[in-house]
Amino acid sequence: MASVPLVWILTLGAAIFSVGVYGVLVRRRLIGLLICAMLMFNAVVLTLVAFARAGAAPLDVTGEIFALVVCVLATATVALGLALVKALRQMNETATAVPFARQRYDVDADR
Amino acid sequence: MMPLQTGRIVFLCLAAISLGAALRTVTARRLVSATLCLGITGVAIAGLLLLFAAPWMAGVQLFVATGGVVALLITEITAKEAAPESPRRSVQPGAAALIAGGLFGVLVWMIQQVPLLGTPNGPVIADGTAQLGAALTDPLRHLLTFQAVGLLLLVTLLGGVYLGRGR
Repeated sequence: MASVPLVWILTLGAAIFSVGVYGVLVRRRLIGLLICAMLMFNAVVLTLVAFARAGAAPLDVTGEIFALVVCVLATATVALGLALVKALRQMNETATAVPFARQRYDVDADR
Repeated sequence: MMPLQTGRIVFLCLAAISLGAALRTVTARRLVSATLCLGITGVAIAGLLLLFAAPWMAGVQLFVATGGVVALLITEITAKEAAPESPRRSVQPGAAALIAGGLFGVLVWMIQQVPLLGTPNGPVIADGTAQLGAALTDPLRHLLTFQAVGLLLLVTLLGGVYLGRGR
């Protein structure tokens, strides 16, 4: 693992995760929230792989499989989130649905 | 095995790139710029995974979590007018920075509390990709996980098609 101390890796993961939390708090568009959530997922994957490779059983692939599952979950989250954004856009255009997204988050803030 | 100092220098460079791109991701007003910066962060993290001798995870990170997601986001964003985000925020940036900084402080404090974290890194798995594939298809190990993930992707696909269908 190129002899990088685990503390460095975990600190980097914590920093990227915190930046993602900041983004989730300040973004208004739903796609912006998805982008920041993806940033947080990236930090989690980095941390999981670091634990897997430098943990108590570095020759076991279970940790990497766990990280792989998290990666798939993140991708599925973004795919479903984008589909939801598209559905919300259609609901807003019909002007009959409750525009819940405009209460706090906007689908298209400046449209 | 990479020399000690070289490995650390490469790590620091990739860490700086990923952190800088992450900061730009959350501060960029245009979502296209934010998405591209997310892609840069993903590529840098894939490089870090490669550095940690996890080439298969680096490939997944590069092609699926970064390439696929960024392509999806760009397609969705450019389908509509990519106007800059309104300066009106859901939470004030100062308060959000305080919360995020506090979270980072707590996480770093927790990392420092664990005594085992100072140990050097483990050995490299010989032929790790083959072992990963064998573990994923072994009924006594992770075959159920593999099938569950496949089922999840199928449900996601069906849900995405249902939600995104035209009316």
